Amino acid sequence: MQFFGGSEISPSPPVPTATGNNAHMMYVFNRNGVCLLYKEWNRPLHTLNPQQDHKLMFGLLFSLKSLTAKMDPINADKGNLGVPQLPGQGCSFHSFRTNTYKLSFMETPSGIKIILVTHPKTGDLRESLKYIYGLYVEYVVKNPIYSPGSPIKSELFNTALDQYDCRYIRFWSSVAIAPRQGFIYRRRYTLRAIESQHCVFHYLRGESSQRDVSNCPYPRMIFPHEI
Amino acid sequence: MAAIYSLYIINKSGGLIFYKDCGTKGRMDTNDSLRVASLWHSMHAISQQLSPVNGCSGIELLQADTFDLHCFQSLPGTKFFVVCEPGTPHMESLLRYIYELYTDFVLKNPFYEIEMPIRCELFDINLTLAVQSDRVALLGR
Repeated sequence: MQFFGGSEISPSPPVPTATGNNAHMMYVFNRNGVCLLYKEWNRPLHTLNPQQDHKLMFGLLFSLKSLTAKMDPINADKGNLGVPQLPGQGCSFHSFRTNTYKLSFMETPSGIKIILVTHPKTGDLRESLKYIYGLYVEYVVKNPIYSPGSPIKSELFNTALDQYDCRYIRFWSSVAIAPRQGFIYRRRYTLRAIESQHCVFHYLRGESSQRDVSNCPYPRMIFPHEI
Repeated sequence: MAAIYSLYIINKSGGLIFYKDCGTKGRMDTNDSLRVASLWHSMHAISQQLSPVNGCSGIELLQADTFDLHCFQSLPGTKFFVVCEPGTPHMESLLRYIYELYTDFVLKNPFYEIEMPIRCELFDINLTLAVQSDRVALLGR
């Protein structure tokens, strides 16, 4: 993993799981429910508009945490259902799985919630979430211009996330999908873009991602050397 | 040996129709179990809305720090979910077996009103037998 500032981010990126992860989207919320970051890599179905989607996601997680704290079979002393819990208080869930996706969740003591939605056969992503939190601390919290509680606009953070995902989280189409905002890339990457009806497909062509592309077992939409 | 803490059955409107608690410390009173069941019913429905692809049928497994929750939804919409120790194997097949017991001893019972709380002795007996089989063990007994 190449870091622009030269500082080492600990822990080092976890080894990819054998089943292969496919990241659909990622959310980062703060303790008040403000969506600090929403990244989408592969989302064919949009049921709601973005604001409602964020609110629904936050509400679902809040209620699920309340449910797991109440249902905890080990601790005898539990609060009433619906009482807001402090981060870390009470039993919390770390993932749930449906037939079409798996949602992995991590809450830090400061109330920052990181959510990754991936393919249902994905393994345990707790280490990945901790790593992403490490990236958040390095690129967002330590940024003096960033004001806490506002949406994250750090390009270094976005690039680091894409870099991490290119290497360790494989995609359906083996091409990185980014929303329609421009990215500023370092000179080590060349940018290829293919327009589609939903978003612009950016392919980050670099040393690490080229290896992953050739190993990707999923049906390919397009390969950069075919362009 | 795997351990089951509790079993819930929810009707298609979200009301709790059966609750069996095998744990010792985590016992809930009736009101709380009703609330938890309704909450689960809503969460199950909301999780379908947040799916990135089509065809989502709701939460099948919830993994928490101290327990796992396996949920099975039958075609009519009745949900069976079991709270067990983390990493317990064969919960899905146990849930399907409980569904078979439900159809045999509850639905085929002519005195049972559909969607009402289950009060069928044979269902309770067979359920206890299934849960006490050599695959799984009741906690605290």
